Amino acid sequence: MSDIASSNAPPLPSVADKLKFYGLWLATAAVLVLLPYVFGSGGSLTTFSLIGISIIFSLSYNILLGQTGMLSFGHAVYYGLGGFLVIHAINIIGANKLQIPLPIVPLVGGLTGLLFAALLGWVSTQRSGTAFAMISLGVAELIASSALILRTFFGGEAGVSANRTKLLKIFGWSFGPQIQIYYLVAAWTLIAVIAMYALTRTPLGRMCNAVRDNPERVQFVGYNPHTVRYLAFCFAGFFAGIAGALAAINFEIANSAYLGAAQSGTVLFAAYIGGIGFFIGPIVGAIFVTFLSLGLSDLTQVWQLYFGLIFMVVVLFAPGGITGLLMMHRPLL
Amino acid sequence: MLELIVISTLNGVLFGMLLFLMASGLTVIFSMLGVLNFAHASFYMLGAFFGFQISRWLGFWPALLIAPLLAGAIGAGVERFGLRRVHCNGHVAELLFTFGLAFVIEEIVQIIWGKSPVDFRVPQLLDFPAFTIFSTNYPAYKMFMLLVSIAIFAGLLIVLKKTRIGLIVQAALTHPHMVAHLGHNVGRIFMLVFGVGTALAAVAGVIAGPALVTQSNMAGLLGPILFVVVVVGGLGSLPGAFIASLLIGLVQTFAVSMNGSLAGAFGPLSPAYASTWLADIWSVTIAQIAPIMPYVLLVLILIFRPMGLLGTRDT
Repeated sequence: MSDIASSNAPPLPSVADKLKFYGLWLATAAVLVLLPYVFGSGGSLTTFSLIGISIIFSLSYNILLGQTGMLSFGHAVYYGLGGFLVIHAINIIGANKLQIPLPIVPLVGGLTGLLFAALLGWVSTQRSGTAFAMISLGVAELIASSALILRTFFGGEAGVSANRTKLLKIFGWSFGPQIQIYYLVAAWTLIAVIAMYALTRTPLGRMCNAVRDNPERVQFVGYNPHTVRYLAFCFAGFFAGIAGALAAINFEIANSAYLGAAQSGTVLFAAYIGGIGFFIGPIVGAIFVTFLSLGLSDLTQVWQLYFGLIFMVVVLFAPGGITGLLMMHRPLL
Repeated sequence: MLELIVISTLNGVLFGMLLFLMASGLTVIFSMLGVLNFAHASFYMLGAFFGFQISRWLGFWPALLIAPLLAGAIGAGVERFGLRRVHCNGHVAELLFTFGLAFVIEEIVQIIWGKSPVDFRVPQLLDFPAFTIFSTNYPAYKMFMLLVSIAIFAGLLIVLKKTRIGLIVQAALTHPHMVAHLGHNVGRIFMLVFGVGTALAAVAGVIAGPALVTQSNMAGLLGPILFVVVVVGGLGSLPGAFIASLLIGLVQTFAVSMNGSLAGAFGPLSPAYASTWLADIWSVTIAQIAPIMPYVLLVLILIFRPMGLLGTRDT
């Protein structure tokens, strides 16, 4: 009687579609492997590492803002805590000669981010919209100020440092040279990007979008928006922790600036300027903002002013961000 | 001890009233436009710096009048040419716009006045001790600050509750379409309210500038506390903002003047633990944790009363 109610699964993708989809990821992996052969200088490798870290961080932020509609002013908390725990983990592993190689250490950061997001998230995600934004700001200030009080753990203003080369070597890699760090960051970036893309395709990812668009309707369907927001918050905290861990490994130091409001502001700028409406948006934003901050800070002292102005122009005239502008012109191709 | 209580209460009420000068504007703007003005503390900073510059040229008293007017005009311009344009993209876009604005204002202030504190002095006329209690001289300028805040508070209350303008503003808060149908220009009311709200923040800046430090990070320091006040009081509730301002003012002032710690109360830790991070928690004084008190209060309020003290609506 009713074809409307039938629950046919969408047709399986054709071979060509599959090839296109998996080919894209394989091509990305190939580009990441080959990049150092084209731009091999120390400076460009450092830049690539920073971009990779920034991509993970911005994408994790977009789980909140773009996918679930939660504007957070305190996402750097999970990034920073992940970084601190990883530095301490490296020190402990190095001192006790544990059989743990460096490439799996970023997991410590991720789990730290997850743990703190699970702890702080339940209270924070009780409300959405403006109230959530203010709460995230308050919680961030609480953690950032506490970091300056708990000096033994957070190392006060100087921060804590570690030596990443003291860990178990695999395949003879010491992770001293920047090229090895680049490959570490690139591998983790690829894994994290695939994982976060997969997350958007799961039922949870779809419910996140529903909570963003119409939380009341979600309640009628039988889901609790608070729980969905909480789960999204935990995932975002996990990936932010991984990004913070990679940053700490890259610089071999973690200090209170990692947790601060400036870091939270930067990731918001990156995600929004790139475009929060598309999965690829924060990736574009992270690349753009990293290049811009490195380039502008060479030219002028007040580069942050230009940053703020670009952000305001994007909010005013191009709410879709760079990706939104590009996609607008897609029909032309 | 009594001296401590009296002085701390005075200072706490003073700080609370200053907070309320800003929180009132923020709350009215929020309930009317539905947007939490992230740059509100930046207008407070602009007020302080304009006040400093004008008091250099013309003296303190003209500055007290001109600086808020200037900041209010800038605020009205921001609403007219910025916020109204992003309004169609929703509240998140508006909040982000004011966030970017706060960022830009701080950078511009840094370009013009530098990063170090400027020399904004208390005017000669008020530079004397008002009274002496228990051997402490209480400066007359602080009494002046208190009087100005209370006068503005009373004025605001009368305008909102007793005049025709206040009636229209209150109506526009809840039923903007009905007010527009009755022939009032709602857009202009919004602009005026935004201008007045930012001007109030600037007044707070001018009178707080000489007493506190006038520096380019003052917005960044005060902004988060301001948002804590608004959330703790209940978003959009003026009486709530008043109570929360006084509460946070008092809590912070009393915390700063107390010197106790867990180590002081229960004795120092055994040497085995004294070098671990437990020692930080054990020996930190109440005065040292004063800066995080408002945020602790925020988290507690959120756990036990998510709507805020006097809040009624969910956003």
